[in-house]
Amino acid sequence: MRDGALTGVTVIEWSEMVAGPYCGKLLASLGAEVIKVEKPRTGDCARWRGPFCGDIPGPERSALFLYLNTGKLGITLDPTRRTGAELLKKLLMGADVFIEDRKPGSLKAIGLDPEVLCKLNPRLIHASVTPFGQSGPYAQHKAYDLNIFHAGGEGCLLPSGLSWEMHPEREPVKGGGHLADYQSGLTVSVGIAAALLARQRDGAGQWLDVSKQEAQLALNHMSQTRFVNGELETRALRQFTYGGVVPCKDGYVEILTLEDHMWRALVKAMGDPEWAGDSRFSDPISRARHGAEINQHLRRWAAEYGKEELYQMLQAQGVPIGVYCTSEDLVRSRHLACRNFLMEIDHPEVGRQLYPDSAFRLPQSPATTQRRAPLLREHNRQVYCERLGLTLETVARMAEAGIV
Amino acid sequence: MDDRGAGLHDVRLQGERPLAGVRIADFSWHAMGPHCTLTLAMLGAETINIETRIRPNIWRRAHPVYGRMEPPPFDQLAVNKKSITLNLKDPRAVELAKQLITVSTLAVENFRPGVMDRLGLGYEALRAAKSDVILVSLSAAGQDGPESRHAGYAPMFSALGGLGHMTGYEDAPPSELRNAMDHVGGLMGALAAIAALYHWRRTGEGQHVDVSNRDVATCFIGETIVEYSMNRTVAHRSGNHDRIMSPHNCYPCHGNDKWISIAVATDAEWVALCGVMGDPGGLSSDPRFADAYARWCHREELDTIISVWTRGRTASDLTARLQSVGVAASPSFSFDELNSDPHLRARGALPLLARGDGSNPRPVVGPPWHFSRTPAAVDSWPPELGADNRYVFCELLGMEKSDLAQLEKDKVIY
Repeated sequence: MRDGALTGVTVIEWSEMVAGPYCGKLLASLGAEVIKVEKPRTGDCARWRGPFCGDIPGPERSALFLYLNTGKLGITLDPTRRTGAELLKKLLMGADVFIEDRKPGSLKAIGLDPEVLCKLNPRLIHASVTPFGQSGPYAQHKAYDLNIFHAGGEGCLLPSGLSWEMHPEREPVKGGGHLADYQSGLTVSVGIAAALLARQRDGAGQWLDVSKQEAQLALNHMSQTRFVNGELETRALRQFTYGGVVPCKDGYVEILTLEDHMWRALVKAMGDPEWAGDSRFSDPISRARHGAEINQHLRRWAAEYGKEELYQMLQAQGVPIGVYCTSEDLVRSRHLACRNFLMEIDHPEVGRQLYPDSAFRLPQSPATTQRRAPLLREHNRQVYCERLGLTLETVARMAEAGIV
Repeated sequence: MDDRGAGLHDVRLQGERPLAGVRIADFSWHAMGPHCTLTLAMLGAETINIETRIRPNIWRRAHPVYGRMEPPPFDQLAVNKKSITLNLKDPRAVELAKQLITVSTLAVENFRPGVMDRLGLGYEALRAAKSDVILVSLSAAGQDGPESRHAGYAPMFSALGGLGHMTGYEDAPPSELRNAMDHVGGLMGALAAIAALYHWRRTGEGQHVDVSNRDVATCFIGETIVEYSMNRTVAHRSGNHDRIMSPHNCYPCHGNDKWISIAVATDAEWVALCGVMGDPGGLSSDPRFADAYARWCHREELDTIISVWTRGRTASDLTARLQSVGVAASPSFSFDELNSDPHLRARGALPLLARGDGSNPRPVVGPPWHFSRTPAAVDSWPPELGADNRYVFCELLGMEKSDLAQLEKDKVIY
């Protein structure tokens, strides 16, 4: 088997839930060796978040944890204790990358601030990921995924489409699942990869401060451009004039005809209905003005069909359409099966389950995501004894003291 | 060759940025590809965007379906980039594109799969021009598979990837995700591109990188795939709600369409929230809200009680008061608020970008990483269409100026 792009890079990940762990997962998929540092006894709190396999809670049964931690080694360690901090320092001396999501300033309190780490290991790339970054008036603010999504500019613009049309007075909503944290984790991984590339040139590491809020903002620069151009986006102003979310017999599809030829293809696919021949619908600007009428016709027509039927029928004509897929639809997708995108990973407690593979393919340095998530403290012995040279007895005593 | 040397020297002047010295032949258009190259350009890669007057990029055109009758005069997708024009339907333009490949490190494209091959610029053709070329292909659904050539835009990627189904109110249709979905696909592409560069520097090997945007959407809800696999349970959207945290929602505030997000995980946070609210009706000792599970079960009643309190108060005041006692809260910021926000200002998150002559400075979104040693930056205004034809064709590729003029006249460099 060929090496991954980052084979030989060692990452220490001391983070919980989604953002830091997703960053670690991405680096692991590129071939890096990722050692995940978890709280002694309970571990990453994602282990205690559902859904659980068979609805039976347990630290090795959380779908969220199992998914976000594939490809890693796992150890337990409490670096907020003096001995724990010293052990972490030892690990960082031999590492290339350190990912952490601690509250700004709290590393300094345990003697692990960036300046110390830089002296300890000048090649170390230290990435901090926090809600609002290391500086500024909100640096100490607390925020969960919900708050970050709404602090980042896109929150107040959702929902978009039919849902907004039906409920223009309701509250804005966040992206699904843990979107803000996933986006943050991906952003951090790009920064780390860039720092590794810089280090390849000159041998020096550095410290990287990523604010989750800014990570969201960076994906919403089109709204910034519009604002500067004098047009403040709101849910009401942001809607497509026609098309968008369209209900059908067994779910929803998304239909957009941004180009004239797509509109003509849609009309053809609908069987050239009489209404579509009206001169009000003949050019894009006029169609935009009469979007509500188009939607009435389009929705009436689409209601007769199933989502998969519409998808195949319209794509065959070159009309951009997508199905609002559920997890079940994805598992059954022929396209994903042909690309081997969903793969089985075995695990001693939950057995063989399906996991999404990487969203990119690097044929010369293949992504590796087939290694299951670590059990709690699974690699303590390997890391503490074999790598740091501690005796089993020492590690046992440290465990009694709540350090590992 | 002297001219070519001068070009490389310009790249070196970009200083210590992480991707300094990397040159990109950027065939991308629309949003996913351009955000990928924007990311790489902010990190210091010299990015040469190949455009054509025949089919102008989306940010140079009006789009009535978006309700936009005017083309936006500026789009951040094009900052830090250079622009050249090539009509790739003409074989002479294709040859010039291949010449550009020979002096580039990386090529990026996001046409529909098959288009680069049809243009004579597929991976094998590029490899013939430069044996260690890295080609990053970004697409809706990947380079192979039965649906790879389907048409699509960001909302379809999020829909097909399953993220759309998970976004929106529990009792209403799913929500579209818009341009940020394109951009996050581009960001994933940037990660893959840098990984391929790292591999290339170590081994001298190029490769053809395949990034699927709908797979990016699925990766962001990966736990729901594992959940279905384990339990045959189909996850469903739940608005702003969480699996167990409550309150966990946006609440109306003073002003038109102003909201605050509040999330409570622990009993301590709940007691602190009740304290800021003045504990109306003995809320903190109400058994309906006594622990996380009880609060989750009564989340709708709780949302109503909190809404009564937030309405009429300003989101920024409430945020300050809640944060001071350790409760997670933030306004649901609109872009006017973000632009005047003291925190983002203090962090320099929205730097001013002026034209080359210093005129018309305007705030843009800065890079999302603060590197201690090799800073990323946004530092050059979007180019006019073809603004860098002379630099690229004459300086980098050694073309005579008279030939450039002729090829422009012949609509090859067009």
